[in-house]
Amino acid sequence: MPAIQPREEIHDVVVIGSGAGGATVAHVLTGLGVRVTLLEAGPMLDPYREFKEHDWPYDYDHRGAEPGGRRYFGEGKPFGFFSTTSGGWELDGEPYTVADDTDDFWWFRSRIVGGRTNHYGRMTFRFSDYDFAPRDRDGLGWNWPITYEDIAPWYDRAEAFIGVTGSREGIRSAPDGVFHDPPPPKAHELLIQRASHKLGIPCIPNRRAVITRPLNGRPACHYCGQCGRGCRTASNYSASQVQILPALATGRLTLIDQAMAREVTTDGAGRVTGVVYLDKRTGEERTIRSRVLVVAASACESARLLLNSKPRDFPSGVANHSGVVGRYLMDTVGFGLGGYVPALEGLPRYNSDGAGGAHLYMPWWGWDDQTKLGFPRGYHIEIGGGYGMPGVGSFQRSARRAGYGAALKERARREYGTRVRDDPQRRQLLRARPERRRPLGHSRPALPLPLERARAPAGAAHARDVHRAHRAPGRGG
Amino acid sequence: MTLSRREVLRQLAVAATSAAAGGFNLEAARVVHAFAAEERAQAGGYAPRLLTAHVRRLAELVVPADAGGGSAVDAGAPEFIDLLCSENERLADIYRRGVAWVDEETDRRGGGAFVGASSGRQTALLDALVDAERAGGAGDLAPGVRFFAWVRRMTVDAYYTSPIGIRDVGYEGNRVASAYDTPPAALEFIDRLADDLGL
Repeated sequence: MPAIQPREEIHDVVVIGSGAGGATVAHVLTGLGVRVTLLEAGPMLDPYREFKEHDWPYDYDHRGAEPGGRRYFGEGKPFGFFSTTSGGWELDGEPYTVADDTDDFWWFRSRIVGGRTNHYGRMTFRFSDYDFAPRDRDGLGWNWPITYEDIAPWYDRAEAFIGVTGSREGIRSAPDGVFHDPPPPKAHELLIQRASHKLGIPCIPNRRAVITRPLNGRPACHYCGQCGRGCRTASNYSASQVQILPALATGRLTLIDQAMAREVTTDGAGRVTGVVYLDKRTGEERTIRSRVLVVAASACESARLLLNSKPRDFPSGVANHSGVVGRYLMDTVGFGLGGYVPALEGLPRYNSDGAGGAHLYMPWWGWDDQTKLGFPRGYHIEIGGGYGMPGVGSFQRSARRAGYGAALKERARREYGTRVRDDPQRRQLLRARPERRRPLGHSRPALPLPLERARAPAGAAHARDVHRAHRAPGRGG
Repeated sequence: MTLSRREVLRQLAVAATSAAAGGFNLEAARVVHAFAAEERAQAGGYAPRLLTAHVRRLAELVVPADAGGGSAVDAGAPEFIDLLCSENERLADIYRRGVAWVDEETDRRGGGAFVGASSGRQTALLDALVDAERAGGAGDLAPGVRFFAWVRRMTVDAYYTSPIGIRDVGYEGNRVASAYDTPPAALEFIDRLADDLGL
């Protein structure tokens, strides 16, 4: 037996990161009887206390503009005051740099138990069969060593566990799964669906991680449309509520929050022994030893941790003999196009909150024409619209158009609910070439990310043309 | 009040999540919503400290009372603006300078301060600002155009985030429901519209 310090506990499994990946590991392993220790860089989440679900803007004197009207100055909470606890693009004490030729890469980092699953849009899609062999189609990237058929049973299992709405459509870019019944379309979505069908574009029930029937003790959605605020009844999927809390209830999960992993440690013979982390409450550095270490700290943070860990036996970073850790970052590029649709004026008012987000969406339809389009891969389109809860900013367009006075009120009434958005979300290849620099300090990591964007503009132009085609019939501003 | 709203919500959530495979407790949720409304009705309002007469009058002009609802003053716009200014020197400065500009301009256009002027003279100034804004916002009126944009923005926000503003536009949501349905009248409207548009 190697000599170890007698007082030092060796944990069975240590997981770094409590988002979708880390929480799944923790939940599955504790369910199998394994003891797991989970490190999270942010604080513990209390959904009942922190979520602002069902609050009205007038419940707060600042109405959502935040103290001192921070939102008016482009400051305040990411995604708005009412959005769930999350993290940010700028975090105190955690600066990062990007390459000189990259001016628009914003690195969002969650710092909360459950990570980004607390606030993501719950759009939950499968890759298509052709996504696993991209090089065969467009010569970019690499084919995966597994196929869609290999992973399909795991998609089934994940969907059955977290609960995803959808319908069986037989569309190649959006393989069918194990679905909860989707809610019916909203009124403005039906108009877009008719326009889509005329253009030959599929417009189908959305696939969102929202349950429409009870599941594992979680009640069905109550259709308040406020998924983005966090759901107190856990009727949408968040790792914090659906996996971490049940895993804690087994008594086999030890959660250490406010713990920023800094360096993976090894025994000098090529074996990982644990991790050094910063206890953000005390500012002290601690070492935790484990038999198994799971790095699930998000794509960029995991790469940073491995590259910043340079024990003697791993001079280029832990698990980086190939030299590709931190390279070939894949990101999703999204942009939104909105329009005022005068033809929707006069639509009878109704409660369009629904299951939150869009009930319909447009999966990618152009896979057969890929070689003629001038850009690789594809995108899908999300739809926004309806009679949303009025909030700070909601009626500024109408107000500007009307000027002031009685005309302003009249215009706001008329134009409420007439704004519709197409939000193409692109699957696009981005390449990152990490140039590791020394961290500035224990809590101040730096990961330069020079990005090379490959032909995103051509895809964006295509999406813009599709949007214009949608807009043509009932067009407005 | 012995039980805080948060406590009720918490208990609701605990009850809902512990009901294994049972439906959501709609009745409990309705109780919570009624409770929250009651608590809000009892809450004391914010008393303005910095700005009063000018902001009050401007708010009343930007969103006046009509058959569809009260004015921005009824919706608490002056208190909203005053509170945020009291918390943010940058914002307070915008309002102090803006109010001074409005008085100077009113004086230049025929004497006196804005608040004491006839409503005809007040709206004439706002009309001039809106015209200047539509023409690009440059020129002598530029400081006034910028200030009026702030006043309108915050007044409109205050009104439409208040109970009367939300009622005015007819938002019907933020409820707890056992199912989602688009009502037949809305479906028929869309059907007719799509037919008319040739879709």
